[in-house]
Order: sequence, then C-alpha cells, then structure tokens
Amino acid sequence: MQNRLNKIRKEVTIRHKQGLHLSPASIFAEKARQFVSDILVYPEESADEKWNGKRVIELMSIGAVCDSKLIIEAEGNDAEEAVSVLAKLVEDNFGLA
Amino acid sequence: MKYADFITQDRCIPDLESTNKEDVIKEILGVFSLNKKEFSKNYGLIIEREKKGTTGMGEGIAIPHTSMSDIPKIVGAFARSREGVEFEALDGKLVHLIFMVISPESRKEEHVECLKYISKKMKNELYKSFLMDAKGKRGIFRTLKEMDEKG
Repeated sequence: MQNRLNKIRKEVTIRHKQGLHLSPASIFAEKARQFVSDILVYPEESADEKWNGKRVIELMSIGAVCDSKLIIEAEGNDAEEAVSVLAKLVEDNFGLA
Repeated sequence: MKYADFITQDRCIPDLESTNKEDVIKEILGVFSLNKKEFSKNYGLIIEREKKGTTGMGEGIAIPHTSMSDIPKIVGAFARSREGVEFEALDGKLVHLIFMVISPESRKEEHVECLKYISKKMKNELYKSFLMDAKGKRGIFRTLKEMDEKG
C-alpha cells in the first residue's frame, strides 16, 4: 500500500526568457491540477514560504526570473509522478518557444 | 515596487461601463494620457497579447499588459467590474478586478516585479474583498495604498 504522505522534491531551473511569467505559470498550474497530490513550489532559499503550484496567481507571485532555481514539492498518492511530469515540463521550457 | 509607484487615483475606474473584453481594454486604456496613435498602438499590442494567451489568470483577476519603447517608467491602471467581464479567464470565471500595465521595453525586470507585486497582493482574498467594497476612485486608491503599507 502506497504511503499517503509520500513527499517528493526536485530542483528545476527556469529557462524561459521571461521567467515564470503568465504563460508558463498557467501551463504549469493546469498540469499540476491534474494530480491529486498537493503541489508546492518555492526557491530553495525561501523554504519557509511555499507557493501553491495549482494556482497561477501564486506561481506569478514567486517572481522567478530566467535561470532561477525552484523546488517542486509534491505530497500525496501520485507525488512521484507529479514531480516527474512537472519537472519535465519545466525542463522542456513549458512547451513554449 | 508598490501600487502607488505605477497607479494613480486618476487611473482607477470604480465601475467599468463596458462589458466585453475588447471594449473593457479600450475603456481602461482611455485613462492613460495617450495620443490617438499611442492609443491605437497599445490597444493593438494588448489585444495581440491576449490572443496569444489570456491574461485573465483566474480567481477574478486579469492583468492585460504590454510594453512601449518610449516611456520612462511603468504606468498602470486599475479597473473594477461588479458584474464581471468575460475575459476568457483560465478558470472560466468572470473577471472583476483588472490591472493594466504598460512597461518600458528596456525594463523587463521591473515588469516582472510589477506582475509579481500585483499577484502577491491579489492572492489574498481579504485584499480582493477590500477592493470590491472600496467606494469610488478615492476609496480604491486609498485601499491600494493601504495594501502598499502592509508590505
């Protein structure tokens, strides 16, 4: 039986030239909402403040610029898959040019 | 970056008259001191940006924005619609609070800071309710400044 409190983290680097701007933030949040796990996003140095990865407005309020490093953290039944898929999305530049 | 750095009382619209997205963008652009050519250019750029992807980020908020080469600093406007505007928002809901931002092309980082600031404040439901309840231009601008003071 899978542990409900399975917590997975992965560091990613934002490569989009405009940073975690509205378009990438909305693509990320839409993908994050496909998972039941709680998804949190935060810069490593701000581990005491975490942002809800399923809300565009929260992702925008991180203000992550190009080359920023962020931690994607998921907790729940599909945490491992969520982090893997979301990290790949960021690595692939959100599917944007 | 604070609201008072880019929004003025004169650029607050307490009750939008327009109800569709294009007319709302025109109505808000009307509070900037733009000549006919600048107005037309900015309107075109904002609409073009909206076609690439809506700036209606959900939760009743939209931040239509663009950049210009020949302005010295970021300028913004705030508009409220109690009825709500169909802005093709990401969550499919009507938009009630709209921040329009025009940034100098050379200051991309300030632009990101500005959108960050608006988002940071507007994720707070209490602040959103204060803006919905504020009376007139003066009340709205005072509310924005109070949010600035709360850090």
